[in-house]
Amino acid sequence: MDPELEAHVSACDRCRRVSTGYQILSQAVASWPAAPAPSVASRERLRALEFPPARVRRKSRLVYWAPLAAAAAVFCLVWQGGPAREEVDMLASPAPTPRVARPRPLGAALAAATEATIDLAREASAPAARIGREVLEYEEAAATPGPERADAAGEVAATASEMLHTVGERVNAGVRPISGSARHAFSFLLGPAPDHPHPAAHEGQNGL
Amino acid sequence: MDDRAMVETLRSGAPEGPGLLFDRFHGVVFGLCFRMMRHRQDAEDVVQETFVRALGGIAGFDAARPLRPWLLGIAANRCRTALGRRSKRPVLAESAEDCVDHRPGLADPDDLAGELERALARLRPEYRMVFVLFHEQGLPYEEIAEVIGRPVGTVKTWLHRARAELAEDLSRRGVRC
Repeated sequence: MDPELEAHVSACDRCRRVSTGYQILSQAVASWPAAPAPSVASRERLRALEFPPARVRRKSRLVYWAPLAAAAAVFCLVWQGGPAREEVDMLASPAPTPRVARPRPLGAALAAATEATIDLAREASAPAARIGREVLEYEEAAATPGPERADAAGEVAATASEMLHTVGERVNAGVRPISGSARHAFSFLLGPAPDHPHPAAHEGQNGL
Repeated sequence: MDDRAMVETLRSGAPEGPGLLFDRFHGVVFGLCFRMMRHRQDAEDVVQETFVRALGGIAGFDAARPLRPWLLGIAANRCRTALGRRSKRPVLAESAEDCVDHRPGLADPDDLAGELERALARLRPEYRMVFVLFHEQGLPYEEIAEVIGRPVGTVKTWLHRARAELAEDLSRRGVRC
């Protein structure tokens, strides 16, 4: 042992214990007998075993031909074409352009929509307008003096009666009157507000 | 006969081939198996398994490699498997001549070899294998690494730990030089 190391071991308990352990191990290994030999019986038993002759596994011909066959198949597919070629042709050809109407300018579209809305409103309000016109004609006829007034009034009364009868039939048939929201939507057809205010408004103002 | 010639003899299916292999490596393989299994009958079973496997796989063996580490590697794997199998089965009564007496308190502190056997029995199997291959079989680090399938650095580490644990065990048990 190195003198310096020996001096340290003599002073350090821990290192002395470790050193002593290794010295004991060294002597134990030196006195360690060799492993016992296998028994004769086991040797004979091992010799009595019959082992099949070892054969080197040769590669079958398939190992050599399979890659060639695969390569040939791939080559045929590429050369002759097939489903894949059709897909390629489809990809190569330009895609058909769908026929889409050219979009109109926004102003023209709004004008068309407005016109369609007005037409719809006219058709929807035609009966009411007709009734209104008949009422106005009746008032004018009533204001007209003479026999013409009586004829006109009678004609208007008959027409009004007929109209009321028609309206009654439609109500009985389940025709629903125009809703408040629809009336509000088509209020622009009514034209400007009358010059004379509503009597209720006068009453309200007077009340204040 | 060198290793390559023996491999060729075995591959040729010559009837004397297995006998030549047994004569040459039976003792080495049995020594490792006996140290690992610590039971003669178990060791002989493992040796038989080892040679059966070796002869079955000789066709795929690289004849350029040495035979001894290959055979010892098979034996090491068989020992590991057998030890795992044995740990799962109930302990049977063993005859005195078949196994090493490892009962504590009965040993003579001056019986260095016996104490070393008992200390080895308490080592981890991989440490024990490396220790046996190095100190008893005299294999170099590289060959041990090939046997156990680990790097040389691992072999050195395991060998150092095995020595340290054995030294501490021996000194703790009051073994005297």
